[in-house]
Amino acid sequence: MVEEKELVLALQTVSQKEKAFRELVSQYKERLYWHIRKIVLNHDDTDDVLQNTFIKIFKNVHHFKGDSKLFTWMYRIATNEAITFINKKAKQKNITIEGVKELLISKLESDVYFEGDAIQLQLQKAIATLPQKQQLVFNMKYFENHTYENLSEILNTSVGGLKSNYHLAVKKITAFLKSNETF
Amino acid sequence: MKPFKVTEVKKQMKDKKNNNGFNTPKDYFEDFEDRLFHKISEDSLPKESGFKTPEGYFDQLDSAILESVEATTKQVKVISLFSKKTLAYAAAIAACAILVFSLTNTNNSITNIDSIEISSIESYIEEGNLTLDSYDIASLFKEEYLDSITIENEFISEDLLEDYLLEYIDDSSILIE
Repeated sequence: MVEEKELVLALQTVSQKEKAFRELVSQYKERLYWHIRKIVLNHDDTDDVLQNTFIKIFKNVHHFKGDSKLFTWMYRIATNEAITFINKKAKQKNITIEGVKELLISKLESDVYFEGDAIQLQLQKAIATLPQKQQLVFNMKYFENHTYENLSEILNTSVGGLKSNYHLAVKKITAFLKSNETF
Repeated sequence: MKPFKVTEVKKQMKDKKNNNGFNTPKDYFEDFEDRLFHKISEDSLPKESGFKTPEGYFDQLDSAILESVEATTKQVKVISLFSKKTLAYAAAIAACAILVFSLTNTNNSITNIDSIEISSIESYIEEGNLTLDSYDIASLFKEEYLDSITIENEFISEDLLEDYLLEYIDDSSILIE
């Protein structure tokens, strides 16, 4: 916690901002990358969104009031940027958000940067059938191992709500995998 | 058949007057099966997502991010070269110009509907842009006494009428008197 306070202070001091920002990027780039990747699915889009996320972080860190953890705040920005990206794509192609997700999933199999086996592909397909909130909760709880408390701050939802979202997600995914068994 | 005799255990717990001081969270046993099967399902899912990155991606990422941050902050700096004073003057002049234009331009609007081509009116209606409700139409009618309305009978000749009926009505049973 002391470390974070120091980091935030440095980020909000003009003379130290760049150095502190480099440190921030180095520490958090991977976690933020994977978080975004699970939402937008392909590498190039993730790269774009990640860069935009860090730009936003850099520009707005002087607004950060410390009422949440720095990392929580950054995760929230990343989530919003990724969702905005999906929404934009939906508008451009004049389809629903679910439609965009389906489109991205269909490209996954031939994606050079997806080396998942059959069941991992099925899992991605299963996740894509969930409502957006459940997708987020599932990805963050299952793959990223956030605690419910962390998630509650990031997603602005009660722990109880998150738990039921997660349980529902697991149920639906399991059912999907069972009904689509090809192996 | 339930593999766990939850109901029996529950009964036993209730019957016991003293649990030796131990207690469980609320609904612990009621929810036990759900939680257990949930855990089993979860365990059957693949642990890795299957996504991967290009080789060396994360190594080059730091400098890439710093470059793009620099690029956007540079843009912001350029904009701030305009002093507030010149902006205020420019805004004032623009406002005056807009005011002058809007006052002198009222004559140019098309008020004559004849000058609009019929084809553009047709396509306007076809696209569903014409929103008329019955009140709009009613307001266009002149008031006339019912008695003074005469209905003409000679609009269509009988021959024309007959030809039309023969051509368009398939069910000839209607035509036969």
